Amino acid sequence: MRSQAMFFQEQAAQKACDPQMQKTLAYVRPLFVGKRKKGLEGLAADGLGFEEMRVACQEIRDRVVDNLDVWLELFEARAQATGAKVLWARDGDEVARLLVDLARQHGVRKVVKSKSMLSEEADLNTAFAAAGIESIETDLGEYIIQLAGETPSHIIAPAVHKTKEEVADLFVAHHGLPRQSDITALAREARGVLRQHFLSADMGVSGANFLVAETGSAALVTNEGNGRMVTTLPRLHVVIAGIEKIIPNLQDLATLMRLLPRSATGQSISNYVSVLTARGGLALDSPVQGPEKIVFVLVDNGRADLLGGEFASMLRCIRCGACMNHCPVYTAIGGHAYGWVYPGPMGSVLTPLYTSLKTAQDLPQATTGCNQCGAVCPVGIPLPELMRALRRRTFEEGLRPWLERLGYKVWAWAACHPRFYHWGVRRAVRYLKWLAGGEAFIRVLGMAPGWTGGRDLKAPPGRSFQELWADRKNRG
Amino acid sequence: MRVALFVTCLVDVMRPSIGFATMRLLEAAGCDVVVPEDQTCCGQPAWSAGEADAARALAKKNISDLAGFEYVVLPSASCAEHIKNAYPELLAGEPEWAEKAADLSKRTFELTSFLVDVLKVNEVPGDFHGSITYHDSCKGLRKLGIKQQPRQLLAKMKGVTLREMGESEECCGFGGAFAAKFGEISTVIVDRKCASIRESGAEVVVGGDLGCLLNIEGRLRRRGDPTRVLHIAEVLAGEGQ
Amino acid sequence: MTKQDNHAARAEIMARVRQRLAPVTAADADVRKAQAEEAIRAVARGPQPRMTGDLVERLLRKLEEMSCTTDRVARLNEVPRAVARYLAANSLGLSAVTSPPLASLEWENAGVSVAVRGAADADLVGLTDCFCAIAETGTLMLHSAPDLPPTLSLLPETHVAVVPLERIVPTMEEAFARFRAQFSDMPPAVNFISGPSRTADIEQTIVLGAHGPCRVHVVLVG
Repeated sequence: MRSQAMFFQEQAAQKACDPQMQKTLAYVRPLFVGKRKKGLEGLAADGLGFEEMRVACQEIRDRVVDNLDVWLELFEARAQATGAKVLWARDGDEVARLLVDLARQHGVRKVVKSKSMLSEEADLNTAFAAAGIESIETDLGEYIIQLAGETPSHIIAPAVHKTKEEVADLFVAHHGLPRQSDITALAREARGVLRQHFLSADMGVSGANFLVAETGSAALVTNEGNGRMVTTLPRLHVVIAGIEKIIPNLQDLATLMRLLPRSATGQSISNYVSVLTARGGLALDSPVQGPEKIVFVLVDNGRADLLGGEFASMLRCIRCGACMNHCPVYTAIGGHAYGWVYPGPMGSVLTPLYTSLKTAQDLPQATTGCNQCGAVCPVGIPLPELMRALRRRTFEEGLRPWLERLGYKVWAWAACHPRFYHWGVRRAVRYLKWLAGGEAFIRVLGMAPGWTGGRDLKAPPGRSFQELWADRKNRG
Repeated sequence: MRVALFVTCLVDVMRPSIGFATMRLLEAAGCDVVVPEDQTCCGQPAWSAGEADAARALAKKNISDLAGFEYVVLPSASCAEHIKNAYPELLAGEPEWAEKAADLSKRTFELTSFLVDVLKVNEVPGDFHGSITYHDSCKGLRKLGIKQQPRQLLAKMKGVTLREMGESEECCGFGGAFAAKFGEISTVIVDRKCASIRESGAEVVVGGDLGCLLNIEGRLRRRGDPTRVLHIAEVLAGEGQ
Repeated sequence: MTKQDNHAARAEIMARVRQRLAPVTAADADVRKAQAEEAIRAVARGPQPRMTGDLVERLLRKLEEMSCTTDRVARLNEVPRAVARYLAANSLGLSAVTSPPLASLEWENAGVSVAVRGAADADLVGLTDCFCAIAETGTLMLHSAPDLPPTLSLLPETHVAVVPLERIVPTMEEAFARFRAQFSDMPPAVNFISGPSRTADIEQTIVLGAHGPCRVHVVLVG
């Protein structure tokens, strides 16, 4: 997917002023927050604290990320020992190329996909279409946005920006069936249409929530059951997963499953957790149902470059979406404004790192530093600190506007020279008081139009604290 | 007990009354309050913008200015958090400075935390009659664990009725330069805060960080909402009536 | 794609990974690999839930929280009648597909016609046993095998699962421990099923029966 992150400022402003978007976000925000809270209450009822679980989950992820070289080799060897094929892709284009080649080799005409954000990085559907291979998204949210020709606006609720009326319009246009107006009927209709695709597809493509090194398996977590369909019915199953997705063993999966669904949707567990392994010693003509072949595609696309550096902790991410669900900025603008695959705080870190800091530099700027994301992250990623580190890098690489950089230099110099600074402050407070023109509030501030675009500024009394304090001391 | 009062650059410029209220509270609690004359800014705006060199220069300046005081107290959790957490991080590569930064970090406190956790005050000098709702500012809440301290102090004031707002822990959308850089986004966020304040039915919204308060008050006025906005120091010192 | 190409991709990615990690890893790769293998072998468990009370009651409660319906019979031979009652009460027809573990029960006497095979699109009811049931979350653990087609719990609108009491375990960790004790290899699929399939993708409104079953009915035995 080509990044549109350079248009963040305009896109975000537009979304912030879009009444329909605001209505949708106002509706979903308390749901997101409330569901997670309830999920954690359930955990507490079993005597498990969030902090205790978070430490355990972080340790599991760190153990792998800190030694990824050996874990990759281990996973590869064990997956191969079960009969799976393991391929590697340096970037999104290579992912798309490998999958199209695999489809061609196996005479595939139709592909069914379960949700994979990595496939969005690779723009996989476009590649399949160009190769004349039909590929169908089967997660209901992904299916809706595929029909709409859009991109996901949330990593676990891709169509969260769509209303049921919009979905009904899309279904009428694409299914040629009578218009349904209620949500249950719409979901039912999609079930019927997609069921036929599941049954007729030759290849299933899924992501992986985790790659289990112990067993050489993919662990897949879904609610709709489409993940199971995609990995059970077609004869070929291709798993595309980032190289960082490995966990050591099945016990670790059990640990992570106590926080992943709760962080994402508040569920104590998702409806389906599947551990999928190649057929091992089973003969191909064995009557066991399942794909004849599993291929793992392990993808770098910028991940390896994060290892060993100040952004390595980002590789712990388990894609739960809690950071965006609790982010005041995400819940004010939705996901599309972020311009690439991943929105919200995790996207504001990943997009500059995986695409380009130059074009995505506004993303890590667009934060209040509130740390609501860091506080809810189930693997303890210090998201505000990572965004700040990106801002530092932006500054060091000279990517900020020269006036802004100069401004900070002058201000910092002044702040280190108190006499000059206080002289400036005395001028500034008088100017601001004058600007208020005797009123209590300044309504328009030329030097900060962003501020007074939405709010007034209380006028200062015209003399600084330091001045008033000096007076008081002198009066003794 | 010799205490340095670091009023913060925002209070110095925008609302000196908070500085004087803080002084009154500290003196009433028996502190010998000193206002270091050369103080300017803690450097957080530079650190936040990614200008690490400027932030480092200011960290060193302040470490030098604030040496020799038993405690340093600020009427802002955000600035206190910067001194406590960012200075050691900024100076980690310079052992001599790192040690000084760690020392200053231990001596630095946000006002309500200082009054409750260090001085363990039993009474506050001011008087206030009315209903108050308290906005928890992000850095204080999530980085310094400041939640009960201001409430405990308000509870010592007989005339105060505390009416908690919904989502008091939600960000107000200030975020320093954020509110100016991304005004439209900030407005959506602060609107939620204004709605929570209104729903609380309180006459006054109180907080511990002037940045948040300027943002909230500015938006309340633009919406035509007359709810008063006060700093916790002003209320506790009795300057809010 | 040629084989060479992918070798190059692998080599390049592994080289990058090693290069980035070199400054921060203390031990050499062999030592770290041995440690990693030890971490795999160690079946160390993370923080465990402290569940109080009876596991059976807990399981029933959690199954219902997961939108399952439940029933309980004393003996396995009572299952067919209990299933028949459930199907009749919900007007779900009286035919089902199942697999060998349950096929030998006296379905005919109970008025249920069963076919022993994998499920097809048109099948309305899938009948399965399970490897175990997890009380912590109200989860059924099923695995695929030549005589255990995974489609039984996937394609039909109704999934009826039979759970003997001795198969109830407290946690997923315990379920895996039992699994390891019984099998040396992983089957193609181990599925943990917690209630009917669901979606909340339209306006965050939960609808049961997304792609998998709309109903999951659990019959405890014992």
